[in-house]
Amino acid sequence: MPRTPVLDIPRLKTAEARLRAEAKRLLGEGAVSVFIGHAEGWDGLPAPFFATEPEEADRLVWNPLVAFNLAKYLLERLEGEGKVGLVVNGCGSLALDRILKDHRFPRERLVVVGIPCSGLLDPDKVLALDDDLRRAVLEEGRADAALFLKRCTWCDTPNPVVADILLGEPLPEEPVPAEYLRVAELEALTPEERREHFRALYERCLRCFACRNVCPACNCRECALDQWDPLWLGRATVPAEQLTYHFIRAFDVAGRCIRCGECERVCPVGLPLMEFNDKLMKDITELFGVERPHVPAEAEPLGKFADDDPDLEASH
Amino acid sequence: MATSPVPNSTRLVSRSDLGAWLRALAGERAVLAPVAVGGKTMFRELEAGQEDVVDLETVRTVDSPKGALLPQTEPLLTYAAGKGEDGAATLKVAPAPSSRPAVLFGVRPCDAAALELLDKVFLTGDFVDEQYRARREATTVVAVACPAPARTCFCTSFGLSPGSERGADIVLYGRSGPERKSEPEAYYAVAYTERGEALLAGSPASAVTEVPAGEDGRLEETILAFRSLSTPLGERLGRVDVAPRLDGLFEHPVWEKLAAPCLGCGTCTFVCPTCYCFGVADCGAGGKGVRFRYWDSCKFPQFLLMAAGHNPRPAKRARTRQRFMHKLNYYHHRYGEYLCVGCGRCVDACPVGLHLPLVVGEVRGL
Repeated sequence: MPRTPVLDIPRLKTAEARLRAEAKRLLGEGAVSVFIGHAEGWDGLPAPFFATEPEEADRLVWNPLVAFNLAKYLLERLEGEGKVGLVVNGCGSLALDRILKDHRFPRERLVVVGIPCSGLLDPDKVLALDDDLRRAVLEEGRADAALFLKRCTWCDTPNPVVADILLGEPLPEEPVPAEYLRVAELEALTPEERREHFRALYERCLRCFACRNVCPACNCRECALDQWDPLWLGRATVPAEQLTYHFIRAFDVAGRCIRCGECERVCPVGLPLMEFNDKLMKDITELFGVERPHVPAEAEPLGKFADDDPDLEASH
Repeated sequence: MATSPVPNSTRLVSRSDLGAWLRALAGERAVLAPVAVGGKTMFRELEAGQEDVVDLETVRTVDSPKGALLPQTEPLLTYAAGKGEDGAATLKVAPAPSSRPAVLFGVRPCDAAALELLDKVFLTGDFVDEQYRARREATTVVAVACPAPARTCFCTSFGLSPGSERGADIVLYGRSGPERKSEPEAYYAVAYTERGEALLAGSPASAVTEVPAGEDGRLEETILAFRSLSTPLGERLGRVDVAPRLDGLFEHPVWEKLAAPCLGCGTCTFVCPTCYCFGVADCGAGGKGVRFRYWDSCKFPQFLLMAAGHNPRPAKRARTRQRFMHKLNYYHHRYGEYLCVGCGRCVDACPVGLHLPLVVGEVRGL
């Protein structure tokens, strides 16, 4: 059963007020040199925001549309001395933890403000509503299940897994049985059908790299796909290269995908990119007995070496 | 700016005959039109049977039709190195095969106007891009006026309109005008160029019929109604006027602020109908191969990376500045107009809300 997310407007409003106060304090005391959050951008949509002065903290927002995970911006802050403030909800904290577990940002340079989250809306779907309906959704919290982000329907991490300061009471955590509905369809295909499925799918990829650039697990110092020598990925958008791009992307995040679905959400041509990621997660569960493969762990099945690995024995 | 329709060059096409018309146009020609692809609407070369499912209702295709003139991947030449009978090295170079004549069908007026902006780059000045020219001259553009501009449309900010004819050989206007709830039963097909006239003249009379006598007044009113439509974002933005203001802003800190959320993906540039930058690469082995060009993006950190390792635009600030200065200032200096037609794709597609109207607003506020 998928989880039923809840839009709790009073809770979001309280969190927003406390977030502003906390960020203002951190910036004012010099505890952080920048605070990364969201501010109101175009059309009332939250956009990533980088506050450097205490008074700028008043522009921070925390509302049903703060879908964008911010942790990836830490990679641009590696150079420099000051600490970085960052706001995360549950899935935002998984993104952050991914980057921390991959040793891509020093924990000691971070001040993490965590906010428990009962569900967020898909900004594109909300923008498509007429004005009255949008107001009813955003101000009164009357949101249909279909308006929520897809990831909220499988979220089992409403509370931040990394936080120095927690704003608001933690929410009850319940296990959500993993359902990979589209994977079953994929697995039912014959190899020939599957090849055709992927060929037809990736034919429409524009190779804009939005899926890679938004992904917290895609955090390599230099992406192999950007290299010219060796040329792993030819620049021609021909079927072989399209498959190469998507297979490398999916396999590179295998075992490290946090299932935030941002790749799918930002894809301009609407590719169902999570289908492949989900297949790999399902395999990890079945092959390695990892119940929550989307949650970063200290030692991960595809990232650890074990002396008693049965495959090691077999290879001797 | 509205040009009068060329006399005697207007026909009537009923919606139910569109498929037959497109079938008649195909054959010798490639016909590209908006069709449903995986839940989105995109430009594709029609395959047999697709003529009846062309989507003229979705206001905006995900991709622009620029790919018909500047394909995302386009072979330029083939090469083969070898040895002659005397043992001397030889190199055979052959041009890429020429493309078929094409009809670009169901293009929105903003996208049609964008083609003229590309023409200025590829066809004027000291260097004419022959491959682009060959495609352009073999392409007939059939636009379709927009009945209901989308929330993020702002063509009117650049002097265009949902019924403008710039860049189009033919414009289709829904006979029932822009105020309607369902698909029009028929379109006026108005030719604005000789190429457009020729296409209408060569179309089967069963599908493309004469406009009934006495309908001239209704035709003119209909065209005027489409051209008088406002666009939601255009109303907010007004006429874009920031080129002179940008002259002194190259080093302004606003670029740092604007660039901060940029993900460095190429979405805005690839869905944009007027972004045209490309790279050139070879694909081959053993001395034989193909040289091709491919879309590149100034938003990619590697865009200007030199072979020796130097990168003239290593910072996001510089890359973001480049994209918007190009559209709103450099192009304006060179060609006297903006490199944007207000299609709104960047507004829809940018994952972090960094788009041209936002930049125009910021610059005005400085």
